[in-house]
Amino acid sequence: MHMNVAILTWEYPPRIIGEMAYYVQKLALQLSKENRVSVITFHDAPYSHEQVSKSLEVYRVPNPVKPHVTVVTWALSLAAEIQRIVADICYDSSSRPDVIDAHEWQFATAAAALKRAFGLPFVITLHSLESQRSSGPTSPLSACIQGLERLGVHESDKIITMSSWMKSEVERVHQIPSSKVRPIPESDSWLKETLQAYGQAIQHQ
Amino acid sequence: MAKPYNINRRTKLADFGVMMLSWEFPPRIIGGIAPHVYELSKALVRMGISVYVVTCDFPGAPDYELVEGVRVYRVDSYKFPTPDFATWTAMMNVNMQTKATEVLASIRDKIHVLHAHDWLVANACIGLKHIFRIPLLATIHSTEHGRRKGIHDDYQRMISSTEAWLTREAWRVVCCSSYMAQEVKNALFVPDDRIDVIPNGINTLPFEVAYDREAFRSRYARPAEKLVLYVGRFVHEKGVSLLVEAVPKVLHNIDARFVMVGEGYMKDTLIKRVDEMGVAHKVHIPGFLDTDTVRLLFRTADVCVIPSLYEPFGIVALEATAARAPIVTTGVGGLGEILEHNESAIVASPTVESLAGAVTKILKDPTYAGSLSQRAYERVMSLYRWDIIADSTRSVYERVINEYRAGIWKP
Repeated sequence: MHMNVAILTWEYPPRIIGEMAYYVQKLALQLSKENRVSVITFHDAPYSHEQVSKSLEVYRVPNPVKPHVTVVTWALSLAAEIQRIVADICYDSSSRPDVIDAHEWQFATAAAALKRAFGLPFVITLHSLESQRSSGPTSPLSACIQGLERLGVHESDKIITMSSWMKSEVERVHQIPSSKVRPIPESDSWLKETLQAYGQAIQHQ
Repeated sequence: MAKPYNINRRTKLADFGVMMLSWEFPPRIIGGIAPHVYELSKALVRMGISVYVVTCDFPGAPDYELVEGVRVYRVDSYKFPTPDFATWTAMMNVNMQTKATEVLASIRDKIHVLHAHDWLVANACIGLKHIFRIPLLATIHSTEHGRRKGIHDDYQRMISSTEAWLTREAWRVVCCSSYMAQEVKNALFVPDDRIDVIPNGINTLPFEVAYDREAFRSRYARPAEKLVLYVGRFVHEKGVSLLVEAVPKVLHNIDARFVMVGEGYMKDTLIKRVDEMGVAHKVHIPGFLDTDTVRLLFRTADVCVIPSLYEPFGIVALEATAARAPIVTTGVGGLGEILEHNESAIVASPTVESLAGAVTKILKDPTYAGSLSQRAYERVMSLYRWDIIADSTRSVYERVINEYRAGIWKP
């Protein structure tokens, strides 16, 4: 086993909202061939732990608060449960992750808190940006989301995007150095490059 | 019913540290949590406990300061527009957890308990609990269910659900009265045996500064007039309209001036009502007054009326008592736990006639009034001083720490 990766994602099959669920599943399955992977995600049902294979585990947690008034309150109370799962994994000395890969802004704060407390290298994978998803004048809610996204951009050790265009967008919107963002488009070397990005995050720490 | 933790069973701990999270701390004062956390944390420090408070910023207040031994950290409270208060709270909690993590990362071994004050800091406290594996204690000052008289929409449901989450994650839950313990039990489904009742305390020192009583009194009443005081919000649950209706009935028996301090949606209606009844010249409604003036009013009043219809605790009763003002109250909620009828106050029915009768009785019999206020003062000094409250709180901390040490949930 090369690396122990904790992936934080708010969608994962069978819960599919957009393309991200498929992307993260593919990533987890591919990675787990030679690495140990824990996927920590949400589902609207009691806590479940699925041992998919010897090296792939999926933790699904419910939101501890229900109902919610905005996606921000939803994400941030759920983030506390995400922190619980990753912390539990960390406290089990045999399974401490080498790196956290948080997808999108929803669990960026969770990853940042885990990084600060455990010194875990933190990668954020940005599939899209809030400023692209919302149009017109920035609403207060959208501003909150952009703030959380920016927190992830700044607190992370490495940023992965799906394309070079997204890389330039992240740099433009969040005003960060080009060297921090690594575009990894679909290709034969996709998995190798992702592992390299993880390695860069670990070195950065 | 929940009982205070049995102090005889406690194991004394040499020295330990507590990190409190509170969305308000002086000079940021929004409601009752700020003075509570302020007095409690100072009293705990006097007992030798290290206290770290993480709270929201305030213009002019430093990011870090030592307040009588209490280490206070202030965080950016997120000042951009947010769609609603709950979303603001969530954003503020991100900053709070970040700052607390920074502090904890450097002094992890010095903090033995996390202490949350109300749902406003639930996210941050629970995140910290999971990551650092420090036991969490929650004080529930009031519930959404109680504040709103039931849960009527999804926004309130969400806050109530957050309160319930906080109490589930908390090792123990502290309430300020048996009445509140019952509310927490009914609204949030917390079992009795996880609730400790520790009342609010009162610092009597500010009520003892020297002042010219006659000069101060002459600002509000003529020498021949008795001074009747009400301090509280002008809202339905405080029963303020009962007192307004009682004014002519009292005046029928004795000459008096009514001073009613506070703000609220009922204020204009009640001012109009006072006019209608033709007693406007006997009622003074000044709105909000500064704390010092209010304390002097308590000390000058011949009677303080607390006509509440809903009261989780009733700090006003402690303030009136510290000022040695005789009290007429309805005794609802926490008030009935602080004051006893005919012993430390007159506990009247929540009706105009009953209140008017009680006020008249106190005004006409200063000796009786004096004996009530003296016994109330003695009771408050023996049960509600902050060092006593801090000692009860300490015993809950010790219980949590001892149970935690005996368990397997550790870093």
